[in-house]
Amino acid sequence: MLEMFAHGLQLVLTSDVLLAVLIAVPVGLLAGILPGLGGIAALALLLPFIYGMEAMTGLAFLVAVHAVIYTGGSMSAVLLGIPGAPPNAATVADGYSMCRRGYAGVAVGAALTASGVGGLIGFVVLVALLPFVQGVVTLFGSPETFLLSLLGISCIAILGRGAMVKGLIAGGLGIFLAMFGYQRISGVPRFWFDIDYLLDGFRLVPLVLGLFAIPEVLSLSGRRKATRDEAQTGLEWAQIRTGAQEVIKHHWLCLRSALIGVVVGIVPGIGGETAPFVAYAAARQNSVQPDTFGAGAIEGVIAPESSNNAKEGGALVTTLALGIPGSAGMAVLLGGFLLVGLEPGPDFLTEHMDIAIGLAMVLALANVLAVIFMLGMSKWLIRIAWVDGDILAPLLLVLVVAGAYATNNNPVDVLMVFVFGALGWILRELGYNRAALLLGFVLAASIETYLHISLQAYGAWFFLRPVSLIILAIMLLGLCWPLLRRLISQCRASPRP
Amino acid sequence: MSKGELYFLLSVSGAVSAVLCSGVFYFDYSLQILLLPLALGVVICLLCFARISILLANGFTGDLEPATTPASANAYRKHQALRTLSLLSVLPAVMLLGYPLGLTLYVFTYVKLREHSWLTASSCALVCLGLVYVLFMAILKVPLPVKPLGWL
Repeated sequence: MLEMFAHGLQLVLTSDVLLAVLIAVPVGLLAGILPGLGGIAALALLLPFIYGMEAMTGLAFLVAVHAVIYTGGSMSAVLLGIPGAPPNAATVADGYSMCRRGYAGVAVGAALTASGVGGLIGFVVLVALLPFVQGVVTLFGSPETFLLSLLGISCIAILGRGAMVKGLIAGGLGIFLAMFGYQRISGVPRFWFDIDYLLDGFRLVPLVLGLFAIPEVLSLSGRRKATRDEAQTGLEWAQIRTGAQEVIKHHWLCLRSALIGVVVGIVPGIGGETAPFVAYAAARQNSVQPDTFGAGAIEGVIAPESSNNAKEGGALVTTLALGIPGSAGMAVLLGGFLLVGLEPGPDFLTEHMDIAIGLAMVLALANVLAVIFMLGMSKWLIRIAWVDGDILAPLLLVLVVAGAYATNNNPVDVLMVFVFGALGWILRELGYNRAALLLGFVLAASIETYLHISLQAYGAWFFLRPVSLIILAIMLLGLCWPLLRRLISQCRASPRP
Repeated sequence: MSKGELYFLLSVSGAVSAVLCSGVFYFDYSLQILLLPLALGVVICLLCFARISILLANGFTGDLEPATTPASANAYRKHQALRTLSLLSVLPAVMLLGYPLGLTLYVFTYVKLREHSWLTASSCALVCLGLVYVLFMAILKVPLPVKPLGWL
């Protein structure tokens, strides 16, 4: 195990990886500060840039960006009352209240320090769990991997936003879109309709950009900037220091909130927005002054920010070990793995444990760098949140268009971005889970491959293996849970004879 | 739940069925090729019909907010559609003028048409030019089409 740590450290301490992290941190912070852009849209925009990079460099870049987005988002939440990313919404109530009362620096100092500490706790848990999970995943063969992939899609459908049926339709559509092009097993091109572009099927980068970036850019174009009257930029260093000291004073709160974040992050499909709210509710319940929450309680800033960054460590456990993303952002990260030629899943930990540990170290490093960077630059970085949406939208679209072309130097990719953009916009307006569609698309290849291997090796009853039956039972329970819950509540509500 | 969702579900199930029928009758794929897509297509269509039946059972809500009049809603939709179309004009801009010129002109025109000053529009155009030339062409070495109609 120590050898793996050493290998992981060796992978991280290269000039390419360190440079990628150094660039990723300010990019992620900026993306987090911009309200309306969101973590997933930012990851989607950056996905084309890792194409052609070394595996560790590209993944370190994405992980570092994703790790610090919510640290940047906390700034907009505290100073403007607008969450930079959806998970920062829990910080707005108390953070913005403190800002309006003249304690912006204290709130910022507490938010940044709690984010950094939470991220480090997430890293510790991730590193502690990975060796344990590595032992568990050796029990998984082809049938289990196939069923795990289906479980991942069902989890996101069941636990994500919107009705379960909508999530399953989106997930199924994602798998179906991946059926176009050369079949992995036989090499026969499927559904290509004599169009050369479709021989290789739909590409991941145009799909991701279209689904996640285009709808957000369209929304951004209608957003007016926050006025200077609304923004408090009087950040004093003394206040920031006081805020950091508050985190040390509330160290048990910080630790508990981080652990809540890790646990929520591990459960696939729940998503990033839930963890900070659960941590906030727990902090309020355990507070000696619960009435102060919502009116500027420092605990109301520390709890959500600590859990926000810690959840990424938990989400990486299931993403790396099982190939099931813990959140929609992790679904985009899964796409990044495929772009650099790696396939997360049960085999990943046995073959690339050093990369997994390296990514955990990148998570920790990015969180520490983000805190240092933000403590120094927050006064100036927050000004970017004042930029009009009508100015940001076309510039982001330039990144989308050029980034889409950059992946394969194919102009049809640019056209496909807008085709998928229309689909993404429709899905968002109708409340369908876009992350489920992306996950279906990403996992489709392994679903088909492992289904084929399972049928060849074990026959039609491959799912009767013990571990397969457990996974199948969990999936069926989850799918039937809404019906079961309705039956239980009906039984409770019906009058006794 | 709106009628838009109904049309979307019908479109999805129709498209999936059409693609599968092409696989069976036009491409004449073997069962090994079609097994998973067929199973998936059946599941997707069943889920779509399940969702449609939920929609029909619950009825539809109107597309208008209660407080808006049809005239103001139409004007709002027209304004949104125009803004979306102007944003999406980036595609013909790069196809007709090439990436550096097309994107720069697009950003300048869009920002100016959104009632910002000449200075703001020019600054945005310069930022765009910097992104395209410095980031994509110089650093990332992406061979973006420079000439107009370069995709022909």
